[in-house]
Amino acid sequence: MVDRLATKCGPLELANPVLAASGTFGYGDSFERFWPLETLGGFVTKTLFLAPRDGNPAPRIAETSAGMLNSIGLANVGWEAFVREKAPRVNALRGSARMLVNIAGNSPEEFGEIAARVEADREAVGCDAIEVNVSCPNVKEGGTNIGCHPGQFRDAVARVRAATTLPMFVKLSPNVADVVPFARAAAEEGAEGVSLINTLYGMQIDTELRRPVLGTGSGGLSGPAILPVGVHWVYKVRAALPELPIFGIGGISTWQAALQYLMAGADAVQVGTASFVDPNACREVLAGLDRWCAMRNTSIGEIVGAAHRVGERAEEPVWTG
Amino acid sequence: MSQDAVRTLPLVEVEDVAAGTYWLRFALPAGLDCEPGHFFMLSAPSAGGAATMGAPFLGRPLSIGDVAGGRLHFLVRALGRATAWFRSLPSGTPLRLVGPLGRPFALPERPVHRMVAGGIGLAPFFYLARRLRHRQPAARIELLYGERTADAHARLAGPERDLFDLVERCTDDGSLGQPGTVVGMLDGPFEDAGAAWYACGPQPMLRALAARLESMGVEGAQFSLEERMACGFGVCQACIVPRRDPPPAYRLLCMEGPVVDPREVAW
Ligand SMILES: Cc1cc2nc3c(=O)[nH]c(=O)nc-3n(C[C@H](O)[C@H](O)[C@H](O)COP(=O)(O)OP(=O)(O)OC[C@H]3O[C@@H](n4cnc5c(N)ncnc54)[C@H](O)[C@@H]3O)c2cc1C
Ligand SMILES: Cc1cc2nc3c(=O)[nH]c(=O)nc-3n(C[C@H](O)[C@H](O)[C@H](O)COP(=O)(O)O)c2cc1C
Ligand code: FES
Repeated sequence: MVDRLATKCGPLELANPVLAASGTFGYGDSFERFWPLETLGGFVTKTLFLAPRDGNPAPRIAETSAGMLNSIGLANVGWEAFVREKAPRVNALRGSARMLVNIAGNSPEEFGEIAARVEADREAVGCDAIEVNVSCPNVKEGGTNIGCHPGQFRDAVARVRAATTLPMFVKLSPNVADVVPFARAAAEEGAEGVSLINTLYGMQIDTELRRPVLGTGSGGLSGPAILPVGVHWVYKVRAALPELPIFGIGGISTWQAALQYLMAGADAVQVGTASFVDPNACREVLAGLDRWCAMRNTSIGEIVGAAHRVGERAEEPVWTG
Repeated sequence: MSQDAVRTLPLVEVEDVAAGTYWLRFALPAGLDCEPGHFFMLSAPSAGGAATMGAPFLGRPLSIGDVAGGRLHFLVRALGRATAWFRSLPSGTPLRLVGPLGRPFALPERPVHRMVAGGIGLAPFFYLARRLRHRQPAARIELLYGERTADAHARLAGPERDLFDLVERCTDDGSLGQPGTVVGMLDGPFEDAGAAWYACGPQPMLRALAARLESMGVEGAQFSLEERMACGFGVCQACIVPRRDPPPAYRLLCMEGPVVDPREVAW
C-alpha cells in the first residue's frame, strides 16, 4: 500500500508534507511539551549566523488584521552554540523528521562563511539540508536587502553552493516586483529547490503616540493575511519552472490552506505564525490533510500541482482591480 | 507539561469589578497543576475563522488570577482589542488556553509577605496570597494597591479581602485611600527589608520600586513583568527584557519570567 502522506521535495524524502517554518519553531526542541518532533515531515531552524545576535529592541511584534508584524531582527544563538547545545538533543528526538538548517549572513561573503561551517560540522549536526534566508540587510552595502537585489542574491547563493554539497533550498522574499526571476537565478546557481514566501514588509502606526508601533518602524507581515500572496507566487514559480521543488509558506493555519499550496505546486509546506497561536497547528494541518486524502482516496503526490492541470489554460496576464 | 498544555474551555462568566476591569472565569480543568505567577495565552479557538468574527488573531498573556471554588479565574483590564473582546463574550464561548506557562513566584518562608500592585498588576496576588496562607498560616500577608482613580479600584469580595491581613489602597488623585503612588506608601510603616516583596504593575512604577527596594537593601524581591508576546513558550523571541549584565542583551520573559529579580533588569 502506498503511504498517502509520504512525499518528496527535491532530494528530501519526507514522511509527510508538513514542516515547521524558520523562526517559528526555535531550534527544534521548543514543542517537545506539546507533541513529539517525529510527527513532522521536517522542520527548519531559526536563522543561524556565525556569531550570536541579540536582535532588535522592543516592541518586536504587533497584531494586524488576520496576522502579525515582527521585527525580531534574526536574534539567534550563533552557529557554535547551536552545534554544541541544541543539535545533539534535537537529533535524538527527531526520528524521521528532516532537519533543515536555516542560515544567513550580513553580506554575501558571510553566507559563504557560514555555509562552510555547516559543511564542516554536518556530521555532528546531522542536518539533511540547508535553507538560505536571503531576506536580510547587507550591512556592508548600506542595508540593501540581499533577497531583493539580483546581483547580491546571486552572489550569496553561489557562495553557499560553492561551500557545501548539502541540498540547498533558497528562501525567497516576496518584496520584489517579480519572484520568478529570483527562483530562476537560485536554480541556475545550483539550488535543489526554493522556499516561498518569507514575510512582506509592513508598518503599523500607534495613532495615540503618533509613531510606529514596532521599535524598528517597519517589520515583516505574516499569518493568514498573506496566504493568497504565497499561493500566487508558488503557482507562478511552478508554472515557470515546473521541475523546481518548492516549499510553500505563508499564512497556513488550516489544512485547507496547505491544500491550496500543494495544488498551486508546492511539494511540501511549512507552517509558521499559526504555531504561535495554536501550538498544535502543524499536527492539525497534517491530520486534516490525512483525512482529506483518505476520503478522496488520493495521496499528496497526486495533488501536488493539481491546479495547473485543469485542462488547457493559457497563461493570462494578471489583472488587478 | 504534556499535551494538556493546550485546552479549549468554555467561558463560565464575566464579572465586572471596577471601571474596565473584570473577572474572566472558567471551570477548573481536571489535573491542572499551576502555581502563582504562571500565565496562560488565551485566544479564539479557530483564529481567523468565520466562527470567531471580531476575535483577535494572536493569543494574549494573562496571569492566573486565582484558583478557587472549582474555577480558574483571570482578572483582566480592558485596554485594547483582545481584552475588550474577552469581556464581550457570552457564557459558554469556547476559548483556547495554552499553559500554564512561565516561571512562577517562589514562596520563601518569611514572617511578612508584602505585595505591591499598580493597576491591573493586582491580578496575580489573589492566588499568591491563597497559596501562602495555605503553606504558612502564621505569616502576615499585606497588599499595597494603587490606581489612578477611585473608580478603577477593584472591589474585593469578602473571601478575596480575607486573603490579606492588610489592604492599603492609594490613588494618584487622592480620591480613594492615601494620595500618591504605591511607591510613595513605602515612606510609612512598610520600610522593612525583612519581608518577602512581590510586585506587579506598570513599567514606571516597577522601575521606581526597584530603585527604592535596592536602596532599602531588599534581597530577593520578585517582580512580575509584562512585554508583548506572540507565543508564550520561547519560540517567537518577541518578549525581550533588557538584562543588567549583558551579554546576551536580553532575556525572554516568557521563559525566564514573567517573575524576575528586579536587580537583574536594566530598567
Ligand atoms: C505574563 C503577562 C501576564 C499578564 N497578565 C495580565 C492579567 O492578569 N490581566 C490583564 O488585564 N493583563 C495582563 N497582562 C497584559 C495583557 O496581556 C495586555 O493588556 C493585553 O495583551 C493587551 O491586549 P489588547 O489586544 O487588549 O490590547 P492592544 O490593543 O494590543 O493594546 C492596548 C494597549 O496595551 C498595550 N499592550 C499590548 N500588549 C501588552 C502586553 N503584553 N503587556 C502590557 N501592555 C500591552 C499596548 O501597548 C497598548 O497600549 C499580562 C501580560 C503579560 C506579559
Ligand atoms: C516572529 C517570526 C520570526 C521569523 N523568523 C524567521 C527567520 O529567522 N528566518 C526565516 O527564514 N524566516 C523567518 N520568519 C518567516 C517565516 O518562516 C515564514 O516565512 C513567514 O512568517 C510566512 O509564513 P507564516 O504566515 O506561516 O508565518 C519569521 C516569521 C515570524 C512571524
Ligand atoms: S512570547 Fe514568544 S518567545 Fe516569549
